[in-house]
Amino acid sequence: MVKHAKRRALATVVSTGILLSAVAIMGSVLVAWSNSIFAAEQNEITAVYSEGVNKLNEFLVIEHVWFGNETSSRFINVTLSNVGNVGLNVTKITLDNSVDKTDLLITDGGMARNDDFSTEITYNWTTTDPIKITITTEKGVLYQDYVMGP
Amino acid sequence: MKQRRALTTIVGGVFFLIVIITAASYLTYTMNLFENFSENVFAVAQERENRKKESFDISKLTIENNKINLDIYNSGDIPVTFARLWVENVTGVDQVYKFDLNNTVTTGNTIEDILKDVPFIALETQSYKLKLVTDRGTTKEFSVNASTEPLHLQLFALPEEVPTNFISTILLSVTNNSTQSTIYTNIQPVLNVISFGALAEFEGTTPEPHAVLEKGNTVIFEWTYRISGDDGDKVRFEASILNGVPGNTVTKNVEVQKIETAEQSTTSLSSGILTSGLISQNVLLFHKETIDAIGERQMWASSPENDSGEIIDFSLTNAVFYTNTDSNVTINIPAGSWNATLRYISSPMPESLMHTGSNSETMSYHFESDLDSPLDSTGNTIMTLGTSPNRPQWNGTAHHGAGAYEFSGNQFASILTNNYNDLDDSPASTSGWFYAYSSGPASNQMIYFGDTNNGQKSYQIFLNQNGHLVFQLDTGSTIATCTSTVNYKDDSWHHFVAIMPGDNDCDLYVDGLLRDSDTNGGNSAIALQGSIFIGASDASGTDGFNGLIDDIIHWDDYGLIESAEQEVTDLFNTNYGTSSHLLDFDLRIVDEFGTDLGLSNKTISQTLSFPIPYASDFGEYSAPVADIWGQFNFTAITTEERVVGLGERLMINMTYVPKSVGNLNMKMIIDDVSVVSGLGSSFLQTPNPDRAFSGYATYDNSAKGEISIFNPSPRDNWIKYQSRVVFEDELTGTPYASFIIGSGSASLGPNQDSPVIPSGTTGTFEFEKPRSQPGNTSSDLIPEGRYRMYVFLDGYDSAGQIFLQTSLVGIVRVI
Repeated sequence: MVKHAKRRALATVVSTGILLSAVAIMGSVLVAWSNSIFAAEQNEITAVYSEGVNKLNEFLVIEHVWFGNETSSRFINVTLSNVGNVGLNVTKITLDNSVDKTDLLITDGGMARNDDFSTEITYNWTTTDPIKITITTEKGVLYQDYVMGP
Repeated sequence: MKQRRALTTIVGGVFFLIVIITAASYLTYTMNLFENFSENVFAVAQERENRKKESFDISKLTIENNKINLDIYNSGDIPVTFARLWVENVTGVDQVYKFDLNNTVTTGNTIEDILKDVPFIALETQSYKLKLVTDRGTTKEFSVNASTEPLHLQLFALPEEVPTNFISTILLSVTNNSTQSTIYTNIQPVLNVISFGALAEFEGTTPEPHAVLEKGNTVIFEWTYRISGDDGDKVRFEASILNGVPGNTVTKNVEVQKIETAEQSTTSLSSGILTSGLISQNVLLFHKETIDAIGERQMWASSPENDSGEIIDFSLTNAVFYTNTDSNVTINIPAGSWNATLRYISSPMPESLMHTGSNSETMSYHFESDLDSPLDSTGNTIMTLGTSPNRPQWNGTAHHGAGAYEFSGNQFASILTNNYNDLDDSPASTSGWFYAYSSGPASNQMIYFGDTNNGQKSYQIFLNQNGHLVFQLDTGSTIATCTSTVNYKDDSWHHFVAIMPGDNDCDLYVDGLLRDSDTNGGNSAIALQGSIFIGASDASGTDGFNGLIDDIIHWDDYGLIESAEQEVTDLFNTNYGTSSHLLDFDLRIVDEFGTDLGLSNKTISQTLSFPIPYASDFGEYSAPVADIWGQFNFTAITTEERVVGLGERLMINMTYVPKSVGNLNMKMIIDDVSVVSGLGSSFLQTPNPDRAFSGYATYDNSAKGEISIFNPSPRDNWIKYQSRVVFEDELTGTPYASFIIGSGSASLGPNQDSPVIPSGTTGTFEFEKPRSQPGNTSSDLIPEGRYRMYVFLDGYDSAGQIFLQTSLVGIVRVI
């Protein structure tokens, strides 16, 4: 009768251990899974938020465009002004007058807030064809304006 | 077993709790992000809204001493900060300059000489394109000294045919029809005179350059020339814009027209019997008569008949005028400029302050022109400006776009005291506008000063050393002082109303709000003597003001009331500048009953709330008796021909748009021969049509005709035999004429002059049936048709001076 009681006690400890281990393993898996899911979602929504807010606060104006007519070649000088709330990076300026389309990739187009940026683009402008100027920023925002040669 | 389950449940619960907390954290984080995003969206939307509210206009641009003097008016709803200026020399190539600015102008105010610190040399001989950029990215581009594209120019000569030694007025109309939305500034007209036999002598003053010409606006430059020569001699006027596009010129010829039977043609001017000369067929005068004008008033190319014109009070009615209808005639009007010239007068006060008797204002200065003795609208007092260097400088576009005087520390104006400004006892009020420079001194700056004979500083309105506005009454025994708590040395316009409700009491309002009161009670009247000073406290310039002053108005026996009538608020909101009144202009072709045809090609202009400037510096608003009328031109441009079809009429409808506060009424005079200043009585001028508009006069060729002749001269007049009426066929020019044969029972013949036409009266005369040879009854009788009717008068006045004059009656239908 005594021996029988000892066996039961041991079995109880073992089974309790097994039960607790099983619960602990399942709980740990559940916690790890939920953490990874939530962390991934958090990272994704943070990235989307940052992208959206930065795009929202980005505001660029094509402040001035003037036309050069040197003997060797014609050019257009474009000045941009960052009047938004965040810095931005201009990556491309496109000039298109339906006859001649020129893409100029910009590598030094970083503009802090209230900063301006000027560049001179060789372009065979005319006095009759309106030119569409398209500015592309690093975040993919496009700004457009039309100008006409003097 | 029960213990194991409990332990396991606790462990499992802990893990579940961890998961729940993780999920809650994620949700909280996400919600915070959304909140931040919403705030960003709101902030960006606000900034974009602010950009839309940003607006500014160029109020002045001149080049002085090789510097561009540029004033900018903030016409938006938000302060504007200018960040950059671009200058492009368009007479050279590739000369572009960029200047950084940092100038802010608050709403409703003007920043002066914004480019004074910009190191740029501007030459009158070169032209420039300028672009202003604000820190929000708003830009405005304008051209200086030149037009960079052809402008719409029109040249008018009024009249185009003159007797020798008569005057012709040359008008150059310049319309900014820029396709690039360019604003042109410092527009300078050029008028060349080329003689083809006739001599043109310039009289009057050369028109000043026009400061700013916005897109769609028109400016008119005026010259006066006295033309002399023989019959048929001409002079050609060729007009253009300085530094304009080559070939952008317009010309007009003026021809000397001989008066066949002139004996002393120059005397016809001094004793004219019909005052207006020949008028063009495209000048449609507004007439008071309503016959055949479908219940409104007539409009046709005919001189006013007498000096009993009509004054139209816009607060009571709108002004509608129609040309006559003619079912046989189509009139083609080419594209061009339509100009309505209004002769009008502004109410001196907003409606709440239109008091009579002792409650009305007793002194009122608006400084709308630069005079050594500026005009008091009430006519009660005389102001005299100090002499150089104590003379304040007039600025024509300073306040509400109109005139004000600038004081630079030692300038002043003085007004001799009389019963209209010496106070004597309460109540009294004084109001005005001031603009104090932030750079002004830290000492008292006087705006309005009056003292008694003992040198007592009895009645003064000034800025103290802190820039606070002070209104002080000093009776010698009691001092009442009202002081604002705001520093007004801020380069902005402010309005003050200083009220003396009791002899020892004061109320001070600034910008429509009560700033301070001081009530002491008692009676101790102040009687000002000597002179009242504006801008300083004496003729030495003591306590000199640094800034501008405008619209000084005084009530010597009335204290303005704000509580119920809101007189202070009304006065604060009154515009004595370029936008005193608002008029809707509706100019179109309608059917014979005045019904709108609803077609765009029958519409000339439908312009709402067009601003009309204040006029004039004279009083007599209630019952004007003299030629005090201001002049305003409303211009509309048509780019295509307009056709007045069979039976149709031309209509102009001018409707007053009252303002809810600060409303100034206006009156217009029409059809009055005594309005001889400026361009004469009110009228509409159209582009030159191929045929004359139908008139309202009809003559039945089966009977004798009748005309009225008004004598506006100060002397009695008589007309002689040979005076006649002439009908000229509108299309062929074939003339028919008849003599004036008498008045009533009194006949007119070779040995008998007419009955006297007393000064200022109208005589009615008969004329025979017009024939191809006047007086020859066997010659051809005038057939039915449309004719230009003239009256040729040969006569003399009571001083023995002879007059010879031809006047156009207008298009007359002979039936």
